[in-house]
Amino acid sequence: MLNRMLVLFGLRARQEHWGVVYDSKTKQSLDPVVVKLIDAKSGKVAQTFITDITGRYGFLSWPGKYKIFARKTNYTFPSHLIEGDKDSVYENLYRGEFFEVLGDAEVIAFNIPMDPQREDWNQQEKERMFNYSPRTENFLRVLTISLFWIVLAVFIASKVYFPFFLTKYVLYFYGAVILLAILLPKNRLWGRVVSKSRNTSVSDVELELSHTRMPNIVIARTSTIEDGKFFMRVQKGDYILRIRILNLQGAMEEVKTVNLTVGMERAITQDFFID
Amino acid sequence: MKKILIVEDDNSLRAILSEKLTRTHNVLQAEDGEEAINSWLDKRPDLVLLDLLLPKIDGIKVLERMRSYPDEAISRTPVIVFSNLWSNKDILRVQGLKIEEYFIKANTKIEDVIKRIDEVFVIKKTEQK
Repeated sequence: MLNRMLVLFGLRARQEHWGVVYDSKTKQSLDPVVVKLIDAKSGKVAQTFITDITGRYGFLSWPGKYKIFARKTNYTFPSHLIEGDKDSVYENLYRGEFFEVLGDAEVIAFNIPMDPQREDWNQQEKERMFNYSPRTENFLRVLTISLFWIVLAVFIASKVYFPFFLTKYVLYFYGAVILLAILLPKNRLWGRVVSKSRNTSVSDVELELSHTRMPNIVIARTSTIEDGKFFMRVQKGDYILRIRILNLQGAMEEVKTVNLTVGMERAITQDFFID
Repeated sequence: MKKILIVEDDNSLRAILSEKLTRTHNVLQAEDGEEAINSWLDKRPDLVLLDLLLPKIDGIKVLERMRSYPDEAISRTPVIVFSNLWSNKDILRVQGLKIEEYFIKANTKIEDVIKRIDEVFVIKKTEQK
């Protein structure tokens, strides 16, 4: 919540659990796009992802050097129409260059523009169904940020030329918000499975997610990597998470079932403890 | 080899699925709902991998029509849905049409889809015995 407020005021870059692949002309998100994470050293595909209906994707990856390749019918990658690091509501843009993941395993989630070559039925249908306007969102964002700084400038001027009782409190508020932007840690973008008895992270654990209203339909699957981290994006709602590990007989065995609610973060970012 | 009908309007994704499945199966392709129905009736696939958001006739309508077809060899064809629609409404509607699995594209590895296809064939073979 606090992170969202700081993003709203332009004091912190938007840091999402996903990147978005979008049309460089209309700014609409694209689906389905096949997004591949390629290991620079071996040239092999490390992970493949298909974007969801809102163009979102993400990779949880180990430190190393990588590049991303995106493929969709009627579109080309990398984009030659977009330059710079920002485009409308999209920041942190990617256009085919190599990049490095340093430190621990992290979520890779650039925004990727693709250039349209011809009309795409799927896109037109989706725009009709979802009616999302990135241009309006961008306008509102610029307006909010501008208002934030204009109000600050007005109250600084008020402090100097015509102070009144509210001035002090408004400036305190601004000071607190700016301090928060500096001190507040970034959101975690991944979840983790930890062994309670051994107090260590557990790799190769399978996680399956179902809606509470449809427990027999698995809507998302993933598994943990070497340090027990996993990446799972979902919509807001109530879910059942089933955790499975490989037993001594070589079969996957369910060891825990968790009921959980996902809110605005739209990703599962908790630690889950198993024996 | 078993016949699999891939119904997917995006050429790139259809090509990737087809490439993976061609190694072990006889692959048929359809890029819209109308083509899917024609191919389903003419070529009688052993399994259909079905997208829901399709030009001309959407995937749910294709499934409804085929499930109500008088010839059981056609109406009971196993179907795996592979779609990016994942609202409760969409899933519940499709679930009532006797599908083998509902995979959400964004949350599923293509390898898992292929694995499930093979599992369905094994289950069907066991049932026939």
